[in-house]
Parts: sequence; structure tokens; C-alpha cells
Amino acid sequence: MIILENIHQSYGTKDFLKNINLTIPEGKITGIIGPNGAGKTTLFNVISRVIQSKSGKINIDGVDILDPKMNLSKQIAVLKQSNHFSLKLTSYELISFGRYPHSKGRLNRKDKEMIDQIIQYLNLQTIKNQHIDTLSGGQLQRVLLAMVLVQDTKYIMLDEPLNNLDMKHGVEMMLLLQKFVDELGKTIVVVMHDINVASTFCEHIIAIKDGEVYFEGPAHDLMVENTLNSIYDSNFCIREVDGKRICIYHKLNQELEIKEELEE
Amino acid sequence: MLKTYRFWIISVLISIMLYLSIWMVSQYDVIMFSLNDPDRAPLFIQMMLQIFQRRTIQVIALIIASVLIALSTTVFQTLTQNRIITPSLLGFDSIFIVTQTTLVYFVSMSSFVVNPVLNFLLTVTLMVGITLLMYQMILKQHKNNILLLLLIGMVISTLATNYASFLQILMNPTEFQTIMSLTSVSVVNIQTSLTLLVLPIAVIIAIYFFSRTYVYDVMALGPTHALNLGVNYAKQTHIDLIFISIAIAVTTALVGPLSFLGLIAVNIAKELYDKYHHKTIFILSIFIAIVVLLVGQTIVELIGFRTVVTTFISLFGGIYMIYLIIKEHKI
Repeated sequence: MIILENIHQSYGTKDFLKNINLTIPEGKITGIIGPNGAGKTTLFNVISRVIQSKSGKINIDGVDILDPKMNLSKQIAVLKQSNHFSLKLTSYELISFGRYPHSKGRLNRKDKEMIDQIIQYLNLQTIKNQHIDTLSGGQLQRVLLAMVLVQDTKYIMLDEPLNNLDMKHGVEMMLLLQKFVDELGKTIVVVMHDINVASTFCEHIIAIKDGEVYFEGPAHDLMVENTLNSIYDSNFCIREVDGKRICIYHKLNQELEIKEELEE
Repeated sequence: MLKTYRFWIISVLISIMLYLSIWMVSQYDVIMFSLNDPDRAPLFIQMMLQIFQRRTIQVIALIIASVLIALSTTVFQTLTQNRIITPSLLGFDSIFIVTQTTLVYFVSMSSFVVNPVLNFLLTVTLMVGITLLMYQMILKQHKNNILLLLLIGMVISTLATNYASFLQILMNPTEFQTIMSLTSVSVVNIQTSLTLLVLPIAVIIAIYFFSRTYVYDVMALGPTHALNLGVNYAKQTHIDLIFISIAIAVTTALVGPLSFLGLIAVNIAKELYDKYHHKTIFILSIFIAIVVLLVGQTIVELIGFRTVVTTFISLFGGIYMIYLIIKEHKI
């Protein structure tokens, strides 16, 4: 369980996060959504310790993670959006970097077994020895996921993992994440843009607006027109498809009405 | 890989032998004459041993320089994630030249210039001091922005070079000659006392860098991945920069400015070895640096010191590097 208490973050005079109090449940996919500039990525970076928060406390399983001396690489694995490498690496070598927190660079037999197991689990055998600059976006994303899995942490944090992926690969990715939760017992935190994907695949959703937590709870409760409208300041249209609530980003009728009003 | 290692180890041994014995070529007549004279032979053999002894010290100094330059350039390139940067861009060479010029101009032939150990200690302290000051001011305030550090280093080095050349114009020819001999790479200046002083420093730095090879592998993935994998990136960068500045300052003060050597040795090593492991790159680049430096110095001696070794390093090292790049990337 990750517990955030009174997290505050500001650059200069502008506050990016104001008094964030959150609990991220175990054994679920938690989605962080919100409009651009709301502070999603800042929140992500604070939890993953890429940046230090100005004040507040973050507890992971009872351990304060803001202590700079703590080494959390065995508890939390983080994957950011921009991943380009200036090294000549094969997929296998990149994946084996994930074992660094355990092996400190010297891979023993157990490490190698683990790597092979994960490669099998994600069906990466065919591209195992390929150089990473020859991989497609979807393949690279899977290799990076494998690297994160090999790290063998309880918590996995992903920053917009669906960026640059088409629908097919996006859905594949989300199904994989669900599989990780169900089969490996991971706790996953994902920052995303697509509300529909979030509502379909995430059990728990946190919506951020202007640096504050606007909504926290199960996906079903988020998908209400009023809530979404005020988070994104736009008009949503929500329908139920096979028991899942799906939204369309603008209400056609209303826009027509606005147009008519303007014309009058 | 073993084959490459063996090739370069043999090359290193050959170049050491070459350097130790090259003086006999120009002195061939004297040697033959003296050895054939039964009265002079025993005395002469003793003299030859003395020459070998002096040259061994020089070889050790050149090896120290190669090791430090190769290691610090590799680490610096990893920190900056850039293959065409060397730590000398931080302005070490020009700070060195400025120190020497100022010393000669203002205090002329005082003990600071004449006494090599005093001169060495003063220069190293100044160079390390200035760079540490730069780190403190820039890295602390700008979140480890090494590129900004480089930019400021380049501006400072341009400024310093101009100041030095201004002073050199004002000098009289004898003083200018002293500056030239102090600031060009030269084994003639190498002192036994200095070499023995530098040796332990070099060993400590080399051991540190070698003990961190796996950390550098991870750091080469970039700050976010390194952080995720549990490397304290900011702290490690800071420690590395301090070691790099000591290494470069020591080499520059020991043999003179050698900036291009590191660039060539490391890049050739990276072209020869197509993986990322720092351990191998370290070892290979050290071998290459030693071979290039010793063979270059041998050639300089062979043609009667009419030029300096940096010219040869740039000429042959540069050509070989271009050849490797063209071969590798099939331009």
C-alpha cells in the first residue's frame, strides 16, 4: 500500500501539487488521469522519486520513501515515457539490466533463470538477440516492460505506456498489465490520457485537476457526466457498452445548440 | 575478445620496447665505437643502464598519463551521454597554460617555475580548485546540468587562452621559450620525483573507476533508468567529476595537454568493441592510449624532436579513427 500525506510541490511561485492525500491500493491497476498540466506527471515523479517533493510524506508498506538514503529499487520499478538509448544493446541485455538492483551487475544462475522466464512470459524469444534500435515501438515497449518485471518489485509505475502505440498494441499492453496483477500479484500505477482505456482496464482511478485530487475511487463512479465534465471542462457523453461505461469526448447536440445560440 | 586483448597487449609491449631502445638509433656510431674500445666499455655499459633507467621512469609516466586520460574520458562520456566530448572541454588545458604563463611572467624564474614538484603541486591545486568551484556553483544550482558546465568551461577556456596569449606577446623571447617547453607535451620534463608522487594517486583513481564499472553500465542507460535501478545518479556524478578533474589535472601537469589522446583512444576502443561493458572499454582504451602515446613519442624522437607528440597523435590517431568510423558505418 502506498500512502501519500500532504504532498506539496511547487516551482517558483506556482503550485503544481497541493495537499495531496492518497492511498494507492494493493493488487490493483490504479490509473492517474487528468487534463494536460494538471500535475499527473509531477505526482508520478514525486512517487517514483525522480523529483523531491517540497513537503509531505510518502509511505510504502510503512517505509518512508522520501529518505534519500533508502534504496527502493527492489520495491518500486519505474518506467518513464522517453526511452531512447545511446548504447548498442540487444533486447536481452536491456532486460538483464533490470536485475541490477539484485545482482549489482554480476548475473548469477538465478538471475538468468528469472530473465529467461520473463522473456518466455512476454513471448520475446524471437527478438531476444535483436538490437533495440531495430525494434518497433510496440516491441520496445514490451522489452521495457520485461526489464521492469525482471526487477521483481511489488510495485510498478508506468508513465503513459500507451503513447505511440496503436489500438491493437495499446489493448495488448493493458491486457498484459491486467495479467501481471492477476497472475503475479503486482500493484501497478499508470498515468494515462485515454479515459475509456482507464475506465475499462483500471480498477481504481485517481483524477487530478489543478494539482488537487478531484476524484478517487472505482472506475464506475468516475464515468458520470458531471464528474468528467468538471474535470476536463468539456461536455462528455457517456453510454454503457457491455457493462462498461464509455465516453465520447464531446456532446454533439450541445455543440449544435451553442452554435445556434451564437448564430441567433 | 581475447584475441583483441592479446593483439593490444603485444602492441603495448612492443611499443614499450621501441621507446626504451629508440635512442640507440641516433647514437649508433657512438655506441659501436665505445663498445669496441675495451677501456670504455664497462663505463659505457653503466651509462647505458642509467639511460634505460631514466627512460623506464618516462615510460611509467606516459603509461600513467594514458591510463588516467583513457579512464576519465570514458567516464566523462558516459556522464554526458556523448561520444565526442572529452573532459578537457572543461578548460583544463587552458587553465594549465594560464597558470604556467602567469607564473613565468610575474615571478619569472623563481623556485615555482624551476622546482618541478612545487610547480606541479601549485598547478594541480589550482586546476582542481577551479573545477571544483565550477561544480559547486553550477551543478548544485542547476540540477546536475553537465552540458551547462561544459558550456561555461568552454567560455572560460577561451577567455583563459586569450589572456595567456596576450601575456605571451608581452614576454621577452627567453621567457616565451620557457613557456613553450613547459606547456608542450614533453617527456624530457618528466622528473622521477614527480612520477613517484603521481603513481599512488593514479593507482587510487584507477582502482576507483574499475570498481564502479557496473555502475557506469547502468548510468549509460540515462538518469531515469539509473535512478530506477537504484543508482544515486546525482551523487555518483559529483564523485566522478571530482575524480576526473584530479586525473586530468595530474596528467596535464605531469606530461602536458593531451586532450585529443583520450578522444581517440576511447572512440577507437568503442569502435573495436561493439558492446557497452565499461570494463572492456576501459581496458581497451588504456591499451590504445599507451600504444598511440609511446609510438608517437618514439617517432618524435626518431626525427630529432622537430615536432611534438600531439601532432602525431592527431595525425595518425585521427586518420585511424576516421577509417574505423567509415568502415563501421559504411559511409
